[in-house]
Amino acid sequence: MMELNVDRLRALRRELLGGEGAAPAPEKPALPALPARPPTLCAGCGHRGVFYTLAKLKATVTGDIGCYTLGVAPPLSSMDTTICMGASIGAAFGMRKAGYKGRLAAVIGDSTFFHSGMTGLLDVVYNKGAITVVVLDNRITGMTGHQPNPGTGRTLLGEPTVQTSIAEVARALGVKRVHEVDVYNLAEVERVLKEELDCGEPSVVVAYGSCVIAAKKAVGAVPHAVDPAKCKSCGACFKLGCPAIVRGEETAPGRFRSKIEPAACIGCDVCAQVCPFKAISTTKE
Amino acid sequence: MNETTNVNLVGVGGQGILLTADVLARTAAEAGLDVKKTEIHGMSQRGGSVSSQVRFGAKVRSPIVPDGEADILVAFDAVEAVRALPSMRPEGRALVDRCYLVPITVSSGLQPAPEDPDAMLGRLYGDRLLRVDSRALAAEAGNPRTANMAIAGALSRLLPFPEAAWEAALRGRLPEKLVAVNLRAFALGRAALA
Ligand code: SF4
Ligand code: SF4
Repeated sequence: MMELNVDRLRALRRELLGGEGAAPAPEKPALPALPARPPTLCAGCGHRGVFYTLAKLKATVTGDIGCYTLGVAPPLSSMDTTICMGASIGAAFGMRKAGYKGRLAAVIGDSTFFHSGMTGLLDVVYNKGAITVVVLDNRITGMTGHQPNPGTGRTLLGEPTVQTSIAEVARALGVKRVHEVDVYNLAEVERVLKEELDCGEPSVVVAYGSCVIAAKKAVGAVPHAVDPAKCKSCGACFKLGCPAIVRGEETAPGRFRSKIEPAACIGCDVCAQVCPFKAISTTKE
Repeated sequence: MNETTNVNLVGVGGQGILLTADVLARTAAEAGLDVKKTEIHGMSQRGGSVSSQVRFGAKVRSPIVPDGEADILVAFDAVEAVRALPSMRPEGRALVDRCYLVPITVSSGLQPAPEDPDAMLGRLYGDRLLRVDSRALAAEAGNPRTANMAIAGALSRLLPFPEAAWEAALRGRLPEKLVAVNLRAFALGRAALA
């Protein structure tokens, strides 16, 4: 943390002025060991299934700047580079030009795409880059506090305005292979991504799912639940890293049944689609 | 000599910390003081540690509370209260909720569970520790999402502002239809720390 806060400035003053006119550094109390509390993709976030699928398909993923950068964290661990706004596309394209033969996806959010992804995509089409650009389209600028963007259909002041379609922008730039998928339909996400990652031409997949927070999906949500009689403690659902999915009973050393925190779960159904034993389903009557 | 009061509010993204800090800052302004506030959120809104600092007094120059200078800690989560200990003055008081949200690093098995949060708090804060059970109070008020205003009610006991200033601040910050239930939670929190 290199921010210039009071403590840092005081330390610098002590260093530069040899302690003159500055109080000595306060003694820091010793703390017991505490678990880290890193930010995570929200429970029910639509980005989760896309990252899960990219990891499953063993794609190399160049990432970008936004909430979705959290896809880098375990257990998804599904982002290999993050450089700066818009860099996902250039980085993937550069890797391809440098001779990389594997599956290659540039993952970028909708706001970042409008901000600085479009020029990169034009470069990719023009110069025939065989990469797949996956636009995680939640129609909002999540990380900075849910400001609208050109895909939202509202101005910053809340007035209705044009809603720019990312798929149409991609087509206008010359991309022939453009697909739109629903992020909560994992089978469709996997089918389309697999096809596009292996197609050998520039392609764009717009993965749509509105932001959990902006769309207030937690309000009145009916949670999913795990049927302990069906759960085989296989751990598949834990790989999603949904904060609503926690360890339940230990059924064998190091093997845990899954449990869903009803207060946190928004019932997005992604874990139910991942469970090989159909142990997870909605609690809706 | 210590003319500025420093309040450090900490917890987990989604607990309503920033709203509480906002209500506190508005209350101090209602009471005619100079106020500055800062917050660390952004990505930490997504279930990570969140903090907001509010400073008020005759004249406040910087919004940041230096380490070791918080007069009051308001912690919405017991483990976050332990984490915030270095922010406190040795004599500063800590208002800590009964809530402990298990971090995903623990629930997913990546890190070991911490020692019992209540034991840690007792050891580290001693008689400077005040506890409140905001979730129970919010349930009593009739809406689980008012837990933060129950905490604000308890906090109001530690500060010299009139109840009317708190109420005006709360009304100014919440939509009309949520005011009554939040005021109820506030009153319950205030009574809980009587
Ligand atoms: S349905 Fe599953 S993946 Fe979706 S929010 Fe609930 S626990 Fe998380
Ligand atoms: S994927 Fe299904 S069977 Fe496996 S741990 Fe999760 S709920 Fe249990």
